[in-house]
Amino acid sequence: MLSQADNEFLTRSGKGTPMGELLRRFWMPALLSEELPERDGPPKKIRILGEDLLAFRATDGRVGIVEPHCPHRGAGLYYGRNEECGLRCAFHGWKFDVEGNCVDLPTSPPESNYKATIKLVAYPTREWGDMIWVYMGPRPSMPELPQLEMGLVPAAQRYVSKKWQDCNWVQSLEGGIDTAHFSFLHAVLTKDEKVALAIYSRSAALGDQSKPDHRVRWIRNDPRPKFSILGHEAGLVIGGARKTDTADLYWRIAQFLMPNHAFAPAAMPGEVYYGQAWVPVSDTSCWIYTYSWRPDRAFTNSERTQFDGGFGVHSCVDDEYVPLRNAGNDYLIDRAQQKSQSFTGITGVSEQDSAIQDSQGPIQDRTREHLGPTDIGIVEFRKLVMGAARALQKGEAPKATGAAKKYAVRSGAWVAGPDKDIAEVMTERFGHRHGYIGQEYGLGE
Amino acid sequence: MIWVYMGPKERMPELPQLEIGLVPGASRYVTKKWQDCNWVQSVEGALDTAHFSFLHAVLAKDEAKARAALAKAAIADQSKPDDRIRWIHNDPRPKFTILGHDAGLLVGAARKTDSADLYWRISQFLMPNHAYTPTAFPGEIYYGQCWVPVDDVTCWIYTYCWQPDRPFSNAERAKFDGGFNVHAEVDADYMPRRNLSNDYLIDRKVQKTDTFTGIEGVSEQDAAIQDSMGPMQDRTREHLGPTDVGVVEFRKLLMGAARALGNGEEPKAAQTANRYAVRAGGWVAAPDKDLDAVMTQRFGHRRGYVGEQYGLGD
Repeated sequence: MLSQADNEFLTRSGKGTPMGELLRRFWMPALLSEELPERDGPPKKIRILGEDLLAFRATDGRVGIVEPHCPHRGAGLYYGRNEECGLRCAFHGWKFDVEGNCVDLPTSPPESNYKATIKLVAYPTREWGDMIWVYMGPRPSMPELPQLEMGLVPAAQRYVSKKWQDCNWVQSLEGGIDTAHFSFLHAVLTKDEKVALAIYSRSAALGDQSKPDHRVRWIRNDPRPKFSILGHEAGLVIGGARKTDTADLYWRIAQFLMPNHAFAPAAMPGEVYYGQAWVPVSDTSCWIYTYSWRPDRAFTNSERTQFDGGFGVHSCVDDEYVPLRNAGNDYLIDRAQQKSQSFTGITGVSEQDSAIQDSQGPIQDRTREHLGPTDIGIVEFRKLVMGAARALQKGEAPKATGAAKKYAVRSGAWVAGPDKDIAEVMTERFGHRHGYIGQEYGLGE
Repeated sequence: MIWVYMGPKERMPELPQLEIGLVPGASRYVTKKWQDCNWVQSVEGALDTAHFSFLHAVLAKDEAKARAALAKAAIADQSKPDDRIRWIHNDPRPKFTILGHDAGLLVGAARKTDSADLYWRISQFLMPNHAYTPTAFPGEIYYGQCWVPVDDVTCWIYTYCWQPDRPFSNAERAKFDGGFNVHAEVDADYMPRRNLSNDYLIDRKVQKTDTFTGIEGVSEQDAAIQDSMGPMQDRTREHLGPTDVGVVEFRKLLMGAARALGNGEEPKAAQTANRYAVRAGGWVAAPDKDLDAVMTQRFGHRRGYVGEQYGLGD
């Protein structure tokens, strides 16, 4: 339970809010690269952390993310001309490059130095991992890009998408790191093996696997996984251990990476890794960037087609990245199916997550919640981000911004002896207690 | 038009004697259009005639394409490229001169031509919310607009045009009906067909090669840029330059009058209804002529007054 003041502190991300300032110290996914396909193509309106901005791909391929209004008389640069390495205002031809420098000011005499005094607010951008990233914080504090493995593997080995979510980013992220809900929200009820198979093949409810196996049964049979949390420089390892058919424990271990990424806990060795990044649009909506990768081989075309149609954390979306099953149509819940086949009657893991997270309201009222032993991942997440935001208010920079390489981690599942703690389980599974694999990419030990 | 007076009864002025109301009904055309922003930024768009070198520019080098783009009258009454269009295109830094008069302001902008002469485009601002376009050469059509706030983030723009010499032909009226110059192409409720909610049907391919904006219609180009400033332009962040002096003088006049009224002083223009009988337009004059002299050459009066033709006195 949080006080109303703490709930506001945790969830508000506008400029000047403590959490908003913390988020601004990190690189944020702003767009998929495919959303700006063309050099000199139409600029795109975006809103991120409550700020309305304009993105454009210049003649040289670089991406600018700038304030949307011309400094002259406030005309919208959206209607401007993207040409010759800059965006030219349609009103009087003032032109700005991707860094916000005024490179042409035709209404002032050539001998005037007025041009040098005019600056458009422009945030630094990077293109990496098929995404366009933006840094909206103070320039001297700009960190390196977080070295997520999805960006380190060759492009053929990753798949990136995004989806719209109609609620505050924090409750959605909290859904991502609470792995206890798998025993319920994503449960398949049907005893009919063919029906179960069909459901799994559509939605990969519990892992990469597309058919029921022991893991599915273990998850269903133990709704009270024991949680262990391990902090590291870039975030938290969040492990949930369930009973198996023997004395061994079935561990499902997620990663939270500061300030807004989480990796799914399902992958056994050789399976696909999944992650998500929550980027606030406003305080009551967000874009979720969903990505998956394989360290060992390229995705096949049929795997990509499966992701395209919605699979794992990837949602089935329209051309604007809005899920086809969304708050506007009750996620096409099928109550007959809910009676006999799946716990929710909603198709798709991603959509089941969305439905439950949106249903908490635009901003979850945490003054009325009642947390229990399976919620300690959420509690530790809040401690970490709220602590970092409070420290930043006192002038202390977030540690994770100085640890970009430490984002090269994996998360996933393992079956281990009952005497092993989470650090040992991680070491067995990944060769490192925090799942660090950066040495495979030359990032050091 | 149906006019309303919403002030104190005892202060009710005469109707402003705009020429559009003085000519016979057959010689005028009146319509209106909805605008999704505060009225002031929209008026300021009209008084700033420097933007013609950009916002309304036609890029097509192909004469047939340029003609098609200009068919919606990018710059003037004329519907084909001529010298004036080239002069506007080539000089993005017109020199502005502002002259006040009883009913408002003359806003003159002089551009270079092919000779030493200057090409003047002179608009009128009439208190508190009318503006005339700066284009008409003798014999061409005069255009004006009147901005009426609906609330602080929307307005109706009454758009009108007139010919002092003759009635409009049916063909001309049909052209205005479809959207031409300041007249927008509107639906039965006077809502522009190309508007904020459909991005003014901007065509990015056309923008690459044919016109500066890719938006069809002068009126729609103006609306797009004015709406794009936001519901109420944030003037704390603007950076004005030498081509914005018309905007500056307009603000001084209007804000000064509002402050004076706050001190109990009546707006002067309310007492000078006859002084609204003026024209605005274009002219080519020798470089040594000032705005007074240019207006006198063009209209026979230093402020463009034509009231004597309608029995309103000298």
